[in-house]
Amino acid sequence: MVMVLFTIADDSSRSRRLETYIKEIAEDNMTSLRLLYEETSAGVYSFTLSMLKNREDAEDALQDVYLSIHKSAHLYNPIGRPMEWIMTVTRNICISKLRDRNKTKPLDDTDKPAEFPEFVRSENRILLGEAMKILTDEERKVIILKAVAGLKHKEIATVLGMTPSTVRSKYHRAIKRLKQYLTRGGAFRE
Amino acid sequence: MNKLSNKDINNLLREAFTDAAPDKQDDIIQAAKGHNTAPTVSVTQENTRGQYAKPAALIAAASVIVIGILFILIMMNSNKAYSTVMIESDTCIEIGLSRDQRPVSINGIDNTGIQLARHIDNAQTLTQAVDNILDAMRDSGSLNENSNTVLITADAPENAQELLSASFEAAKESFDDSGYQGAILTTVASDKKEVQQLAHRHHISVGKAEMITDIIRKDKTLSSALLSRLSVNDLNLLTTFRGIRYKDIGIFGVSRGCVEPDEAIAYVCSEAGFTDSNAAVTMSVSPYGLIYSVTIHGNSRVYIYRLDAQNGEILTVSQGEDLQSAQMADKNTPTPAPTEKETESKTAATQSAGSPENLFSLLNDAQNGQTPSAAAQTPQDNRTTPTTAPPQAQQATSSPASPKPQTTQKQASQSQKQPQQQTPTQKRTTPTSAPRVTQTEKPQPATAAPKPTQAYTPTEAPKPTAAPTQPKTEPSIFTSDNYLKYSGGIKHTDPLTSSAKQISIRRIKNGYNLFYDHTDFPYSPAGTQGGISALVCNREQFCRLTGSTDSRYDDSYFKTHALYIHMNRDANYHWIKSVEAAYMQGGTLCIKNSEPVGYYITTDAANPEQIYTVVYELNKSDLEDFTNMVEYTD
Repeated sequence: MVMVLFTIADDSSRSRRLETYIKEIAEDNMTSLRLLYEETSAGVYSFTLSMLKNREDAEDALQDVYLSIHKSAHLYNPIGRPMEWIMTVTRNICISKLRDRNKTKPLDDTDKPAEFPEFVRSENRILLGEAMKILTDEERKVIILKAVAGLKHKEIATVLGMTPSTVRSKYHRAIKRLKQYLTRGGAFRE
Repeated sequence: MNKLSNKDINNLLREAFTDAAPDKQDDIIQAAKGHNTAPTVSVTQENTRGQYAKPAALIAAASVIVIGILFILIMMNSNKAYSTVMIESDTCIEIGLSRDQRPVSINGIDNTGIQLARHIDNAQTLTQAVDNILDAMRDSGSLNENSNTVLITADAPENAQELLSASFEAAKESFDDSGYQGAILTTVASDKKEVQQLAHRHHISVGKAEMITDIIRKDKTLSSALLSRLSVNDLNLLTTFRGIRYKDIGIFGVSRGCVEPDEAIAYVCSEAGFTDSNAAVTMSVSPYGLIYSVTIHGNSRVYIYRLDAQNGEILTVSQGEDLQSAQMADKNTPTPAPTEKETESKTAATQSAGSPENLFSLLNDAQNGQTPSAAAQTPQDNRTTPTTAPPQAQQATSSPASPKPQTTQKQASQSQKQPQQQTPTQKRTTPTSAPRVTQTEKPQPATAAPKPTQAYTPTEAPKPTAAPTQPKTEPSIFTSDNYLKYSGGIKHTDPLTSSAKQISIRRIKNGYNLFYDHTDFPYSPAGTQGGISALVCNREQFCRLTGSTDSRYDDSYFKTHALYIHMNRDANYHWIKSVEAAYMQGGTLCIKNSEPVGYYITTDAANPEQIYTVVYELNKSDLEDFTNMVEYTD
């Protein structure tokens, strides 16, 4: 119970910190924008990648997200869910990019497999990159928002427009499939 | 190889993506500097100070102070709670409400509640506040699939029922969203002084104090100090098990425990090598939670196992001479060894007396708001053995010739010295995280007692042999004309048309079942989900599929009813689903399921054959044209 309370306290202090950054960004504070980027870019990037399935587009979207945050930080309503807001901004930008892409490209390429960064640091990471490819699009989004961006199930539900129970179900299913894949591949070998 | 946990995978993903994220900070900062979002405001000040400036400033300052004080007084008044709603699980949080039922405060009543309340978002409505509190309880582990009960207590001068109703609806919705069924108890705060004092003394809600008062009224050996330490879920399990009825508390849903009484019996019997027909279970309270005492009679000895109801861990084992059987033997000497037939008939007799041999009788009774079974209503009934071994048994236990009891290492010596020790205050010495006790000594069951091959052997069904190495895909049970099954996953189709005929269906059971042999059960291979669903139309099918011999599901029952049964076992997960709609379309029975929700089962290593079962009742009259069945989800 104490550990759980610490975790809740950590989440809460992170939310407060991010809200402070956003507030300062609204006052044109570039240091806060830099700090916000450092703390949240992994989650944002992984989510853009899972939506756009293309590293180049994902990097463009990443830049657009932080510019958009800078532009609209004054509109943020501090209700204790800054990551949910950031990921909603990210999702909107990705959707807009997908729309643009469909306009310029006659063939829809959204069905192509996701392109993931090559995790070259260790065998486990290479295996993880491969494991992510076996997930469905939605499972991938849910697991990234949960594991990398640190969103709660309810927040993920808001961002992706699903019910919390669907999110929970998809998360459990995805993590189980990853676990099976990684275990078969010999990840975490002693 | 290490076992991968969810946390390991999350950490690996987080680290991998953190390293992979491109460094675009400088580009972003450069681009952002191009924008100028902050509006420039120029202010010009005129020097207007005149000769009256100083007094005017003083008057203005005084006015500001007066207005400030008035504002604070008004705010304090408006934030004063007119009524309260308390939400309690294993911790208690109080919502303070204004006259117009607007939440003005959320405060913890106990220490854990105080910590939790600090992190709960402010809410605009009572519904939102209840939802936020239940979310926080869920996140902190106070509420979960195996401790699913909340108690809502409303305390208001005039509109308590209205508050209770709104809170109940919010809690129900919250449980629906959470993916598992919850039990919700509701009550209006009692104005009895002793109940209020009890609540105040133990930092619990008035509703919980009322629950405790109801329990103590039935069992005066229990103390309020002991009971106040139990969660609402455990209290409700205790009252259900003992058949205690609340005076002024409403109940919706069924509380769930980590280990059900029949699971405790089955586990102990499988460990000890006895049939569960010789076993009985009682529930008692210790300062650490609920305790099951399983008493087994065999070979003129009585064994008493005490298990932690939270995790099934065996805490102590005592044994001694079985005086009852010894007396019986004296009367009937010489007594030949029981034949197999006699053993069977004894089993049947015990079942009819309410033995918890099958899960159905317990769960159905509990769901109907009754006691777990007719014979389990009171601790003094026939099948319930006192939790303490008889004195003679205690003496026998210390005899060096007696078989060694099975116990934890730390408690072995204690049990040998004090085999009669069954008091609820015994300190738990085994680690709570261990799901099952580590057996250092193989139990030595009675030599004459036949070791069963499975715990739940239906008397009507042929006795299965050894567990199959490969699950059967098409067992003979499914070839019956009036019995259809669907297995191997969820079918994503939507056959609903305007010609569909809605039929009535109701859930009558939801819970775990333990099977030790599945000759007839083609459970899903690991990696798939969906399990098996079947429409059961007669008793033979029912017994063979479920392993239950519950007498209520007899031939006359199946004359008017059929059962839709879904069973699942999937590696370390149970995929739980429920029926959202059922209807006939032509001859097809269409079952619309909710999206299955996976729950990780930590006890699977110990019980790899654990099956999650849901049972729904249908009217046979609705199934007249029945030819086949389809299942689907959205």
